[in-house]
Amino acid sequence: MKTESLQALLIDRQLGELPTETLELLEAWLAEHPESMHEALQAEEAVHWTRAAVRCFPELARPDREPGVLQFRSHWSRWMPLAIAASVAALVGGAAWFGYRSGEQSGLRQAHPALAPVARQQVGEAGPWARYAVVSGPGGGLTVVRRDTKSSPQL
Amino acid sequence: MKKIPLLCATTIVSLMLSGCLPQPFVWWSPDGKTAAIRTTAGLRLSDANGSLSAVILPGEIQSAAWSPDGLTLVVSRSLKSTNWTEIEAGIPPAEAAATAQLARAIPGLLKAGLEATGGSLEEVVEKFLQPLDVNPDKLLPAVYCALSSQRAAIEAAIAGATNKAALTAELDSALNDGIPVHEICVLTIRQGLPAGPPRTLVRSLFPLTDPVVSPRYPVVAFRCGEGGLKAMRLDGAAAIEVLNDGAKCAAWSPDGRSLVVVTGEMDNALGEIRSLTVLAPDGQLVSTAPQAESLAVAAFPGSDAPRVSVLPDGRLLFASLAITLPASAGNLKPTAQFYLLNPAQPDAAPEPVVVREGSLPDELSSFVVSPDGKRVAVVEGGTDAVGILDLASGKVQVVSPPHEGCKSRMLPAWKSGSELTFAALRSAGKIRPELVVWQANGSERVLSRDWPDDVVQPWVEGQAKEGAVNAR
Repeated sequence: MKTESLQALLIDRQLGELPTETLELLEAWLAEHPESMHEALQAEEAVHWTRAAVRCFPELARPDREPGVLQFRSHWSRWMPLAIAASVAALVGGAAWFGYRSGEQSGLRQAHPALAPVARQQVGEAGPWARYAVVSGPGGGLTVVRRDTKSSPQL
Repeated sequence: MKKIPLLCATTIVSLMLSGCLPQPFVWWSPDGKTAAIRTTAGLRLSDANGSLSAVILPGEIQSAAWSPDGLTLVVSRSLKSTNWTEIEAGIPPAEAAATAQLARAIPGLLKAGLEATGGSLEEVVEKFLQPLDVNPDKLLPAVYCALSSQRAAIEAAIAGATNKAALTAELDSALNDGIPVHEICVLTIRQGLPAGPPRTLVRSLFPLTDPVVSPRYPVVAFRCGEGGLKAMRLDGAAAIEVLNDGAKCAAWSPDGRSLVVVTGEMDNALGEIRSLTVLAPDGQLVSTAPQAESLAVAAFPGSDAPRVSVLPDGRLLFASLAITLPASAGNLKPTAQFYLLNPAQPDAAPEPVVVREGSLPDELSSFVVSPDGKRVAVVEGGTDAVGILDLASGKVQVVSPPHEGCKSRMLPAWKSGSELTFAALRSAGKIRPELVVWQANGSERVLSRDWPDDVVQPWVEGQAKEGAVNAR
């Protein structure tokens, strides 16, 4: 077995990610190849120390952040109905905001030959500020474009 | 070692994005006589006439806050260090021990990761570190600790790698670059100048940011790490953990005993406004978990940097995306609105602030309330316009017009209830931002005419067209 393959299997074993059949095969192979125990111990030690450090210093663990999934804590219970509605709003808002940021970045690319010069509308309630709109993207989903220019950059 | 820049990549991208929003650069003392100015070289002071000091506090300044008497300036900054022994001595023992403990795993992790993934460091991160669920931001100090204290073990770990030379070069580069050490420090100010060297309150390998000083008691609150919030006496004698996760911003209540905090998941616009009582009636830090009360939920524009302000009468001002669901895609508007909330009436809905004259930006994450709570200065990341909203009348006055191609990167700062300083192009024929003082009587003056370009240039991004700037 290649060293790289063995190391990958050993780490997967330490992480508990090997199927039972593969685990049995690996242990049988290790029993037949005692010279490989050094690698096995090394992987075991590395994972052990990392786990020990994470246990002692929980902030090391990356918080679960599934995009768009809101994790309600117990004290949120009385806010739950509102929070559910707001989370949907937040998803839209977050998507819109991401799009807005993207639009901001795109807006800076004035050297792009496909972009027309930016000119500001100075009329009505728009005032001097940048204005944005939510639009449906070509592949679905919502994004935000700046709309106070004669030719808004394409995202 | 390629892992270090790789691990930093997400952080850098995040900083670039957040850099689009205006940031604080100026903090006026309560009497309006002295301003702390953030520059690329460190912190400077200016008097009310624009006389600028040399750098009084080096490092990368993040934020600052004055004590109510104007005699103490609390600053959050970071300094790069290449001496692990000094770093270790300056940070809390528990943090040093945890970092050293994790550092012991680094040589083994590196060797196992390189061998398991064929020597590609990108794959080490993707196939090895990520399944271990190790936070790269937290791992980086351990990597540096290992580079400093276990060099032989690190070199042994990469000895068999085919790209050993490149890895060694990256190791050396990382070691020579150093690592940022964050701190909250205190400066005593007398007659507009420091009265002594800075005094460090706390240091950490992880960010310590956004200090806010209680308006009644000698206590500072600051964010730590990725969402923790602590309160600490200004003499450093005691501290408590207010929140260990999710704190995005904090402001003191007028009585100086409670913190109003926006909490929520990072990268999520939804946030909860919560009040936490951290000081007992006698002004001492509470000895048990702070009493907490949820006040509102809002969809904050600029989800990573929400802002809530407490008015002198105790009401809270914040901006929220005003979205009503369900809505068709064509009817959704990414428009924020100001709301006022009275914590004394917990069942009352947040009251929208009605604009009766003029207009506010769609994007309302960058605002600053005047000390008397009567006005709100507003800028946005999309232009360099500056507006002032009068909360009583709902009238918006544009005090600095936009210049095509220019975007604000500096939050305004109130010098007093009737004087606002902000960045604007005011020099005829010159594309150079200036620090302008606007006064409620309609007059304005420029404070920064003689200030170096490197001090003022970061305040506005982009280039105005020649001739678009008129002296005023």
